[in-house]
Amino acid sequence: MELTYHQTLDVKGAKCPMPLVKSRKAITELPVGQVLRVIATDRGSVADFQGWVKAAKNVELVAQEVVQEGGQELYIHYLRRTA
Amino acid sequence: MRPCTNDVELAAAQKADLIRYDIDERLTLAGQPQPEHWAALAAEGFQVVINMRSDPERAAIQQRNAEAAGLRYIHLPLPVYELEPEHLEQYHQTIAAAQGRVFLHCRSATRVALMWLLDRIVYDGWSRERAEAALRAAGYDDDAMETFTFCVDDYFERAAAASRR
Repeated sequence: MELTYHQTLDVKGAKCPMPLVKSRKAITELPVGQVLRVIATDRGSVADFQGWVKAAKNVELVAQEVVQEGGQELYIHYLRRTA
Repeated sequence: MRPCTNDVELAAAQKADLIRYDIDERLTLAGQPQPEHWAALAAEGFQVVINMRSDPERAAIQQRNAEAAGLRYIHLPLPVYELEPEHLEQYHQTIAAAQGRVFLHCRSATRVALMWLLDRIVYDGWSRERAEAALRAAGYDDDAMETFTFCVDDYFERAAAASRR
């Protein structure tokens, strides 16, 4: 799966709710329509991002995926600013 | 590469032990309990469980299990990633109204500690240093404290910006 994104936010090592708080800040710095890629190591970020976009008015969750890197799982979230 | 599902997160969480920090004689901040924990918590003397996680379906299942063990159950799904003063007020009133020992949990005991920290500062007039020291004394580590610092700053920045509008 090859996804297009415009900016990357690395929150590896950050614990809940830091990935969401930093993503919320970062998404507002993108133009509407662009996609933020968030790289996290917190497995709970999967459900957290799904919950966030249900309530948020300006964000769409485009995709989520898990990749293996250096013996650890990375949880990657693609968020589009919609408003 | 594979897509994420809630099952991935759920399966991993179910293997984890219960994380808990006994903050004082009335309140314990904790991570997600598993079904086998409810009866033990009731036997320990807890009377109220407050769940701050967002998933309503999972909360409904947990409520049945907790109430079967004799615990009162409150679902309080607050958006800790985007807190507003009214969320903090909702937290404050819920904690104040709870009768007996309270077991307050999220997934990893971080969000609940952040709410406790803000509540102490905003409603009880504690200094930030005193509240942070209490969390550290309860067992929160450096990573957690860094999270609290970032998120408390974020809350007050947002609150100040809102008050200027």
